This record gives sequence, structure tokens and C-alpha cells, in this order.
Amino acid sequence: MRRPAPFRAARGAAIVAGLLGALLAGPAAAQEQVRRGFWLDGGGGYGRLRVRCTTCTRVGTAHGGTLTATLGLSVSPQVVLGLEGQLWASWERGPREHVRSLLVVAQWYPMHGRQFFVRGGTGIVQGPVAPSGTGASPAAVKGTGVGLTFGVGYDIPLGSHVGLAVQAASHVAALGDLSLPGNVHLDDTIAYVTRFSAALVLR
Amino acid sequence: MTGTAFGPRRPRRRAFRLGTASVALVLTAGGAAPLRAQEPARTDSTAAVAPQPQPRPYLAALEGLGLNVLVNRFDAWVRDARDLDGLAWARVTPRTWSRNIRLGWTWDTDAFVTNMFAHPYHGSMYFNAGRANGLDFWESAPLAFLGSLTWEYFGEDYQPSMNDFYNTGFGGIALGEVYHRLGALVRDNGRRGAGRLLRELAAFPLDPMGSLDRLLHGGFTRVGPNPPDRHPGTLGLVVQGGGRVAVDSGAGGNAASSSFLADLAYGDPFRQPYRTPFDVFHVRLQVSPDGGGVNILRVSGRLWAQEFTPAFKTARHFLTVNQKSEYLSSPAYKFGGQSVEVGLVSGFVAARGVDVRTELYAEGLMMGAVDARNTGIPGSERTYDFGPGGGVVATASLQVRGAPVLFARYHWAYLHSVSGSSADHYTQFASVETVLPVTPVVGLGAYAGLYRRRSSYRGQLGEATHFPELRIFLTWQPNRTPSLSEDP
Repeated sequence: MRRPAPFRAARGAAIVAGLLGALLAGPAAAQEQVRRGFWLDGGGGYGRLRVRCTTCTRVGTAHGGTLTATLGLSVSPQVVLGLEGQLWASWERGPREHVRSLLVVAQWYPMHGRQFFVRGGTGIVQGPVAPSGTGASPAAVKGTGVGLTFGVGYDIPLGSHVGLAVQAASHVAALGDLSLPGNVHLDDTIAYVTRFSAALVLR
Repeated sequence: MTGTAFGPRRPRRRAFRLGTASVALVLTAGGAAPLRAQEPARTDSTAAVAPQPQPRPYLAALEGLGLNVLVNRFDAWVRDARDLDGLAWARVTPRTWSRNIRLGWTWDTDAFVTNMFAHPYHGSMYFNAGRANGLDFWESAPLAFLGSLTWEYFGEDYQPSMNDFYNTGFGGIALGEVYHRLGALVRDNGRRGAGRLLRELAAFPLDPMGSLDRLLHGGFTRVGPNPPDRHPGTLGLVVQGGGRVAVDSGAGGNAASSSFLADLAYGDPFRQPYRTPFDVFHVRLQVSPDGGGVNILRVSGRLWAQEFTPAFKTARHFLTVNQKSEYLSSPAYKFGGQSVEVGLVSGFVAARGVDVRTELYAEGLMMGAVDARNTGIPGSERTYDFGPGGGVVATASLQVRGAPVLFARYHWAYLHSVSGSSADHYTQFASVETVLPVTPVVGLGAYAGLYRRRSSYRGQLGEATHFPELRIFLTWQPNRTPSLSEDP
């Protein structure tokens, strides 16, 4: 069965990220990364949205692109704290869906001397999303709530202050109760964005 | 603070103060008998400080996961724990794990005390698995979330709950660091015999993972130097006991009860430049045995601070970032949350020995909970909403020779509900407290407080309410914070 375009794009992005990582990892291993002071990253990738609510009979899904930017500060050799802005936007036809978030994040390098990291954070999220299985005609409805993010990634050093970070992350956006046109109420709406991305890191 | 921070000027006096506070903490924590009388002389080894242990992050993570397995199996095999619907929630299988991962996050229907009081304590154990294994504050913080995450996905038959993750994670960090530091203060590696054992046992309820680690690695009985950050430098403790009159939401009338309160000020922001998170923190615990049990548990510790006035000035100001975990519960109202505060801590010398201290913060409420008439989930124990929000906190206190004689506090908070009712809640707490010193350590005090809440619901009429509270009490202040004009 032929896969839909977004899956092909995601697979392509993953292959490119993997090849890039393999090419850069060797020479970069010799580079000494400095994990002190300020840290800035920016990048993009692919993201899939799923929307659930307690009164919805189906899970709504959509595919799209993500942009992220983070400004942070190292608080220990193993931990950096930052402020992350993220935008996910649907590239599919239909209701215009976006999920925006502004999160305080912590990035933890659990293995001393290694570049593998775990990233997590929380903050404010907002977005028009289009839940499915509501009994109403498809429409994007705006909500504001609280968000979480968890992810894992790997820093590929390109220089002493420059690197490339590949990341897989899940964003959870609790948007609360939403109202669709036609007086349809959705309880406890939660949107999930699963993201695969690459970002240029300056520190 | 290190041993040198106590300064050579008045070592005996400071040591007595800290000793008294430690004993008070031991009594509070474990009900231990008179310790000082039983203890043999300290060894000379206490003059030194223990080297920082080698970090053991994998062991720390494993201990957190082990705790989950232990609690889960205890609930499944020993307690055969079941919820109100008779579901044996601890009997998890790979099928329930797969379902939890597939379905993702939701909000639970547990009671306020479970979500806002018990979960932060549980989270403190994950965090302290890190602290006990040589990780610092920031390195231990992810363990609180890892422990919570694994429990939510694999420890229960329910879908993972967002409110649990926030309260266990953030609350666990705040309480965990406080318990870690208080545990270290109660324990004393330089002592031997019954006194040593009682101290170790008294620290157990505060920091069970730390105690377990000491038991495993021999620290429970080994005599040697204490950790370098054992003493906070200054420690202020005020204990209040008396009567409380408050409006009871059920009957709508006044309800009188006995009430006990402990105020602990660990470290002094005006004496200690910022070094590590929670090197200065404040804890307020209020218990009314027949008026709702634990009424207040508020923990606020500084994450970072920077002074921007010279230390010798009579007016000093610090830009400060705090982490706060708050639990307020009475028959009349419930409010709680995990938050971060950013603001100004100021101190003014009014006269020799007389200070005015003020704090003004903007607050970001990462996850809050508030009850109101239409909140919660009908047919469950959830009588309150969850959501993010923000607020403002302002305090002012007048202190005479380190004893607070007048204290005023105002807290405004906004909460946007994302689980429960479709509502926006606006709360205000205002209080004034005064203490008249009778002797240097005993005083007579009074407290007047007012809680106001306004809630606006989508598609329904809003409502507003207020609850006043009065307390009359005796205070005992075995330890005081030095005034700003005293020698550093």
C-alpha cells in the first residue's frame, strides 16, 4: 500500500538526519563541547497531531511541520535550562490547525561526557485544533491551556560552540473544555504533537 | 552553609541555636525523647566535612524505579487495593501498559489531599534517591519526573494523569530538597549510641530514600564528618498553638477548632549570597486536628538570587527566583499548586535590631487546583478544577531582634481551568498576624485572614464567596533569625 505523503516526508527526514549524523559524528567526536553559559538553538522538522477529548468518539489526526527555538542557560555540566517556543502547523487540507507553545524546558545529559540528552518542560499552549468524532462538522476551535514536553535527542558537535541536535519529542497540550459551532461542547480536550526535528545549536 | 559560615565570633551561641532547632525538628519529625541528655560527646571528626560522594545516577534511577515496583506490588499483593468501583488498580499487565501508552494522558478524579499533598511527598522520594546518591539539585530534578512518568504509565491500571505528573514532579522537587536538607540537619554523623540512632530514625519520615541509602551503604552507623551543606547558617523556628475560628462551608456557620502552626526559615537571604537552589527556604505547616487536618503546607525555596545593593547598606534588595509548592485545605476552601515566583526581596533597617522585610513576586502557576461550587467532576472525589495561571504575592514583616512581631501577606491568583468545570477562577488571600513577646522565646499572638474567590463559568452564572479566619495563639520561638543590623 502506498503511504500518504506526510509519512514519506517523515521517513525522508529521518533518513537525512541519520545520514547527517553518521557523516558528522566521526570527525565531531574529537570536538570538545562546552556546556557552560548561554545556549541557543533553532530548527524544524515533522510533527503529527492527535486530538482527543472525553466526549469525542474518535481521535483526530493531522500531519504538519514544526519550528522550534530555544534560549537557555547551563546550570550544571549535565543540565541546561531554557525557554522554548514551538509552532506546529498542519500542512493538510481542511480546518487550519496550529499548536503554539511557550515552555520552560530542562535538558539533561545523564551520561557524563556523552551527547545523549533528555529534554522536558512545561508552559503555556494555545491552538486552534479540530477534534474528530464530535457529531459536528469539522472545524478548528481555539483553546488555551497547559503543556508538557518530553523528548530525547543527541548533540552532534560541529565545533566547540556549534552543534546539530536531532530530537524526537512529544508535546502534550491540555486545552480544556472547548465549544464547537452548533453548541457542541468538548470536555477535557488534549492535543498531542509527536515531533522529529533537527536544530542548530549555538553555545 | 559551611562550618566557616557560622563565623568564629560566636560559635557557642550559634551552635546552641542550631542544636535547639535540630532537636525541635527531631521532635517534630519523629517524637524522639530528650536527645541531648542521652548523647555521649561528639567525636572530633565532626570538625571536618565529608567529601561529596561520587554521583551514582544509574543507581538513583534504579532506586526510583524500585520504589515504584515495591509500592505497586504492595498495593497489588498485600493490600489488594481497589478503587470506589472495585477495580484492582495495582494489578497491571503488559496489556494495561500498552493501553496507557496508546491512550495517553488524562486527568484523574482523586481527592484533593491525595493529589495535592500525598503526591508531592511521593515525588520527594524519587528526587531524594538522586540527592542520596550524590547528584545535585538540578541533576536530581529529572528523577522526580522519571519516577512519576514510569508510575503513571506502568504502576496503575489507569491512564496516566497530567495532574499527578505535575504535582509529583514539581512538588517532589520542592519538598524533596527541603526534606533532604532537614534530614541532613537532623542526622549527625559525628554522634554515636542511642542519640545517633534516634536521629537517624527521626530523619526517616523526612527523607526515607536518604535513610535507605545510608542503611545500604553503611552511613546509618558510620562515624565521620558531616556533609558540607549540613548547616544553613541561620535557622528561624516559630511554633504556634491556639484556637482557630473559621467559616465552615458545609454548615455556613462558624467552626472553632484547635490549631498548631510551625514556621521554619532555613537560611537568611540577607546573610547568605546565593550558592545553590534552596540554600534559603521557608516552610509553613498548619494543622487543625478537628478543623480539616493539615490546613497549610507551603514550601518556598530560592532557585536563584542576585543582590544589587551593597551588603553594608541599610536598604538591601535582591532579585530572587523561588520555587513554591502550596497546599491549602480547610472545610471552607481548597487551593493548591506548583509555581515559580520571580521578584524582589528587600530588607530595611529601621533602627538597631528593628527590621522591615518585604517580598514582592510575580507568580507563574504551572498547575493549580481550586474548589468552588460548580467545580470538579460530578460523582467522584474530585471537587476542584485543575489548570495553569498566575498571580502576585506581597509580604511585609516587622522584626524586632529577629522576632517577627507583625506580618502581613497578600496573594492574588488567577487559574484557568483545563479540567473540571469550564471556568476562570480569581482568588485572593489577605492576612495580618501579630505577636506580642512575653519572654524572649514565648509570645502571645493573633491572626486574621480572609480568602475571597470569584469564579466565572462559560455559559453559566458566575459566583463569588469569601471565608474569614481568626486565630489566637501562644508562640514559642526557640530560634530566631538575626536582625539585619547584627554583625554578619
